[in-house]
Amino acid sequence: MRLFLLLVFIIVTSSYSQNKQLLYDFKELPQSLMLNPGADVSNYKFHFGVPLLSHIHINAGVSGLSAYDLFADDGRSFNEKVREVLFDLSRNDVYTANQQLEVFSGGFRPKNFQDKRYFSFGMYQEIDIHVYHPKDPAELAYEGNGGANINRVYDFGDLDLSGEMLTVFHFGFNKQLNDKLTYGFRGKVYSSIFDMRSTNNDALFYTQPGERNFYRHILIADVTVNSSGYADLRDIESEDTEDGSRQVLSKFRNRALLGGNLGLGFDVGLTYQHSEQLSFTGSIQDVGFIRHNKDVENYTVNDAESLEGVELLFPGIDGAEEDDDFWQDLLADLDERFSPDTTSTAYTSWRPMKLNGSMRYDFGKKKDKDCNCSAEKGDYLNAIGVQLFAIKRPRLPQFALTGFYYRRLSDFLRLKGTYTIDKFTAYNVGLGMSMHFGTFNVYLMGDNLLAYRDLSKARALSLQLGFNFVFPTTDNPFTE
Amino acid sequence: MKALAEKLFIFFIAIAFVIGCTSELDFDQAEDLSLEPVIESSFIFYQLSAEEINTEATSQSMVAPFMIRDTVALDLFNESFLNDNLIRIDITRDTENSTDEDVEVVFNYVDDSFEPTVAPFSFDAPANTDRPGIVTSYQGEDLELLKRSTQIVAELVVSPTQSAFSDSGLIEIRSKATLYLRID
Repeated sequence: MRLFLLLVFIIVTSSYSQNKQLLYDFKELPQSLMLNPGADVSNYKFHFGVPLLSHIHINAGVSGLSAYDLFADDGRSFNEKVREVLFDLSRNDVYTANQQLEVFSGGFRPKNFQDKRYFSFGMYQEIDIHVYHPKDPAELAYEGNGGANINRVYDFGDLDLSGEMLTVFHFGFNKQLNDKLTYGFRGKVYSSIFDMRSTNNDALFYTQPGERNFYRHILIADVTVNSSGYADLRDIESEDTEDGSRQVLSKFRNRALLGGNLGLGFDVGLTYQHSEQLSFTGSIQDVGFIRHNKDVENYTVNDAESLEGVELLFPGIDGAEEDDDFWQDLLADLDERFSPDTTSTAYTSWRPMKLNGSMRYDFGKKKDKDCNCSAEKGDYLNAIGVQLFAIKRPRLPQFALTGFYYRRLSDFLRLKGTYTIDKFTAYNVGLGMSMHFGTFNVYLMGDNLLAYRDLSKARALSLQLGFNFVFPTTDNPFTE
Repeated sequence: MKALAEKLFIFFIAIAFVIGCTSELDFDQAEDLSLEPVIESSFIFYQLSAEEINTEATSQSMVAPFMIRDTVALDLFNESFLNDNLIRIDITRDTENSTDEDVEVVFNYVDDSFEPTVAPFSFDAPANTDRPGIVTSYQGEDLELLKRSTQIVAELVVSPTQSAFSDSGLIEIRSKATLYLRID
């Protein structure tokens, strides 16, 4: 039980969704190409990221709950707090975790950097965990089916979780078609390291007044858990030696490098420059799937039973025969029927598809001190706009709406502030900055800054940072 | 000078990213977690008509008062989860006796070698009487003894009130178990 709680909390405290509102449409950063392959990178000659350090992304959060709610040192009974939290959360509250690490990345403009096309490529590792609050099973475990809960239908379909670790190899194509339109496409090969999901469960348990006895208990279960990359590890881990952990790492390395279950996917996106100041962007990421056929272990229960209790027939009466073990056998049979069957049938998992859109208005040209006139085309110091993000999740897509202000303080420093409303919080203020030392670039972004006043009350936090080298087409980087 | 100011500005922002405040939290509280669900479960039940009883009694040439018996193997406490976390069990029984016979309802809890684990449970169900909500509660030492039971021997002792058996009416026994668990 404690272990379960700890596990929930590790997920809760190290987790969140995948919105990167600070990075999106941040044209100076090559990682904006990962969110929109059709991003405007017209002044990139070539770029490469510092290996393992070009993009580190961690998101942490949970909807409807913070560590403070449970662990505040306020003298209240812990069980009381658990009860409050359990009963406050809805079945659509989520615990989600997302982490990404770019292993390597780069990009270039072919034909001696003169082409209208820009190619980019790389490899990154990702962990994505998404768990809906198992409301009914948790409440059943907490208070049982007795008392006021007779007749309550417990929906075990509330069990809905997915977790995966994978690496992604990608190659992107970006083309500036004309002054107005830039579009792009990115092909992806997914290399799954570990996958576990149980998202289409249909199961009910309820207790109603019986006809011949106090109660009738009804259990209907159609539950499936799919996993890949797990069975193999379990065999190793049981040894629990240094050699064992070396074997795990070796397996991970092999699977990360296309040695495990593979999948395919793509991103598409575009930027439309409506006027000199007004632009629109849109992109779809991770339209793709992974086919799991190696090291698959699935667990299924599919059965139904309705029972009023143990009926005695009294041997001899009405022809009943002596069978003392009848009920013992029946219970054993029930146990067997509702225990998971293990299969190794291949399955397909879909990546969580993401949608981005933005509208951006640039304004405030840089004044040229020498001639007291405005600078050339496109040389705007400010931008405001709105962005929309959506991610497909098993039950409903999750949305986030962001308003942003972008400011170029100098050639050296650019800032972006965001205000985001989403499932996790309605007061999400984020700040991102990008620093440019010649061609060397460092960026650091964090959201939910207001939560830093008291981290224990935070429901979601995210952090992204990275180091790149970006070589622009003009001498003056990114002033266009 | 301007560059220095900028660098300082960045430095402070970076600090703000890294350092946040946090309220006093006590994660050791998780140690205190204890769930106390109450499970309601139907238990043993039977229905016998006076006619069925009489037919059986006649065919076996039984003389009043006579007894019929059924043994059921129910190794419920073999399950370690139940064994470890059960702190109390209440067994509630209802009887409806609409026959003209007085009966005694008996449940014996016994182990594999038919040795009683706890005192037998028995009560009278007089003719044409309903007796709802008879509760026996087991906790502590009693519960530990009860947990050794692997079989239940149910007995029904029939004592006709009249010299001739009447074929009318029904004996209905219902029971449920209320399980109080504490999961630490």
